[in-house]
Amino acid sequence: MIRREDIKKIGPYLYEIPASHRGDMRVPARIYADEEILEDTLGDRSLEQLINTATLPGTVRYTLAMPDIHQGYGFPIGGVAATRLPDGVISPGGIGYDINCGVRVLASNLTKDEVMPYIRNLVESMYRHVPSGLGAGGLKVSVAELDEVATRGGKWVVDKGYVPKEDLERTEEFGHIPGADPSKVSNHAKDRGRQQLGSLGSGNHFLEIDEIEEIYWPEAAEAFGLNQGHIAVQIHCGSRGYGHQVCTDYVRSMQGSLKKYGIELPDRELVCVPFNSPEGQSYFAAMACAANFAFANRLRIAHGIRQAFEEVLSSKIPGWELHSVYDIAHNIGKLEEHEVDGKKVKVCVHRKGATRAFGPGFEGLPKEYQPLGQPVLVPGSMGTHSFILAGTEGSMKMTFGSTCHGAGRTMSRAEAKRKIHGKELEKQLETQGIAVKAGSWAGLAEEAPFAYKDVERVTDIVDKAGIARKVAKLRPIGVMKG
Amino acid sequence: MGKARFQELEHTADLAIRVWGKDLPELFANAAYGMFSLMVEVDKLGTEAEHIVSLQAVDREALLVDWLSELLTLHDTHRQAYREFLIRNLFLDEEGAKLEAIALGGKIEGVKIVIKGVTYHDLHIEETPQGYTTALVFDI
Repeated sequence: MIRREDIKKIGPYLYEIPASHRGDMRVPARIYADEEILEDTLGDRSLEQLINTATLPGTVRYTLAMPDIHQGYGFPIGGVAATRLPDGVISPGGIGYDINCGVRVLASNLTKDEVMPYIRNLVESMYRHVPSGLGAGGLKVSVAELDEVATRGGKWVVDKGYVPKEDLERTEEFGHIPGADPSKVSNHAKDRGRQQLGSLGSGNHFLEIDEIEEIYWPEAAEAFGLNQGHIAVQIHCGSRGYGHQVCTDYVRSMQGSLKKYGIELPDRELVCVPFNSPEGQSYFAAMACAANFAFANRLRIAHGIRQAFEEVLSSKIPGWELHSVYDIAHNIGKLEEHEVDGKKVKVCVHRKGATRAFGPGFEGLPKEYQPLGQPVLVPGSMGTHSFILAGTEGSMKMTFGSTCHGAGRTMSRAEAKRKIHGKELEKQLETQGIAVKAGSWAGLAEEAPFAYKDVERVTDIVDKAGIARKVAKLRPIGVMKG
Repeated sequence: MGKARFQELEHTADLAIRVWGKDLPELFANAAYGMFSLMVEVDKLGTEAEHIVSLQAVDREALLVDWLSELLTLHDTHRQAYREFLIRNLFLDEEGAKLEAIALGGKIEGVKIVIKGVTYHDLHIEETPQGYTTALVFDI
């Protein structure tokens, strides 16, 4: 059990558990937090899980937890670990079952005042145009088409004419991770994926219409197309059954490989193999397929949202538009270069509930974003604010170009349901001026705002710690949950 | 059956249960029953859908994860959930663990919660004077 005295404060918002804390740690474990968040974290097993990630073979510098850290399985949620290539490990459980779960944000020339009279209709229309809930309901594609989606990602959605190519440019990795090989994806995964493209799923996944309430950094807001008083739409979802099955398959197949590579782990969910091993290469090729599926999924959902807006607003408000701000992954393994011991080295960065936050000058960004840094999209809990930030030089130096991903739960779903009924919560949200449409009352209650950390506090910490810079604050006016 | 088959445990972000069984086949059946109880009203399910599951794994813990994962795949692919589990064969030797089982269930329209994955986290099958028990954590 980790105690407060085991953790050293090494910066205003930075804490460290030294590698000497436990015999099997290879590197220290660092936590971005304030005293209150740190105290909360001691209440569950997230720090023990963070320490476990510090045992992964090939881990460099330190493993990291963002201020939205909470207990997961294997990695804590909000965890980041970089392993040295070519022989450092890759861990499917360290990326998660929902590969490339992430967020896309669209912004509009519509003002909140223009939209408010139609908000209920817009939420209902999004519910009709974007399939949600169990299993199928998405676009039905052949296995050959699915394999194309897996290799080409967002490009497939653009070529089909669902979204303009500008959407693709404003996407992490431009909507396509190279190295995807559908022959490394099981038939089980394909059976699930071919019915689910363009669908939301359920759980904490949602679509949300927001008012851009406050701008902190006008120059970046202008470049990102964010205007105060206008609306934005958030899409939060991932790779659906396709990605879940890829993770399941490789966590399963790697169980037999640990002995072969002499790897000992404190938690079998951290199962991993050297990146350059045949098993590691196969997993990365399959993970890239699932990541590409998720980029395509969010783009196809963006198409559904535009259809919903068209249905409701076409005869009412001429000239409306929804342009992409950006699309980020927050459960993923990425091949990147970062500084280790004064030298640039190639690493595999595992981000499990953490967002890439590359700073100014990064060439993998659209030109207009390059002087400012990558947009970082941080959804709050339902009914609370969300934030758009930008990556910084600090995140490149200190956190392998990573920052927080959301609010972070503090209460179990069971407890949230005991505290409030979904119907009551809907009423409360409606009183706050938020139109809600949910697949089930229980699902709504589980996502109650009080079950989460204060996202404002989380984003303030990453801003003050210099690992992202706040750009804008969004306030929800319409929520659709799967 | 009198005794509890499973109990939901507190978990901040995901879902967790503790499962019991007088022997390993009953533990496997109860784990599957517990998992589907989190997702649907199991007692309202039919039994018209039948699937035969045959699996091999490195040890009994891996076999339990594989069994539940296979049921999740069937559920997601066929839009079904399952309520009865007949464990016909479950044996362990130096080479690993094997299972043959039948799952019975029916069509569903929706779920209370989507389970994305069955994890190894906190999974240790322990022997007790009454039989076997383990915790299971599901990613949702």
